[in-house]
Amino acid sequence: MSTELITLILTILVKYGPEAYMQVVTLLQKTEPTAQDWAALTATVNKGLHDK
Amino acid sequence: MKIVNKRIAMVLAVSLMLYAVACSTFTSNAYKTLSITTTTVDTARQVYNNEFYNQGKVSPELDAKVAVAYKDYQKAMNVAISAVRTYQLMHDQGLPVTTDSVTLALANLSSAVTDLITLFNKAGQP
Repeated sequence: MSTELITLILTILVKYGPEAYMQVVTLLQKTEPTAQDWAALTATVNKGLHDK
Repeated sequence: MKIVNKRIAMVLAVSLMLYAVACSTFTSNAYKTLSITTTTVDTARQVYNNEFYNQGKVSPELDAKVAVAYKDYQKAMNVAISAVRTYQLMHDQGLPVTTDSVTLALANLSSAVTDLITLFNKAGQP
């Protein structure tokens, strides 16, 4: 992970609070991603800009 | 709020450092990078919508730029996901594979994310 990306992540997560931080903590505990993990990730990425 | 943010930043910094030195595979690390990035961008997207766009505080010009940057981010992220998944599949089958394509995809993604977040942050500014 590049230094720039780490800095960006820290900046945004500090700005948007503890819920986002807890999601990150959960993600950090992941080991090898499964097909389900990839599907969930892709679903989040492909949300529309103004979707809920 | 500033004290809470500093504590969160400190805990997050320690978590990221521990993650960086932990014993973990390339695929696992790449997945975590993509997941954390996705979470960060999606959180920023929701704040942009809930606090600015849905409140009528975003000009059509800015939203049009955000829409373009968001599409670029989605393309870059989907390419990065494909690169990591391809690496994972080839590695798991014992095929010769390098990390070059993933590294390139992540660099491209980083650029797209930076551009998008910069535009999200313009919402609400005069």
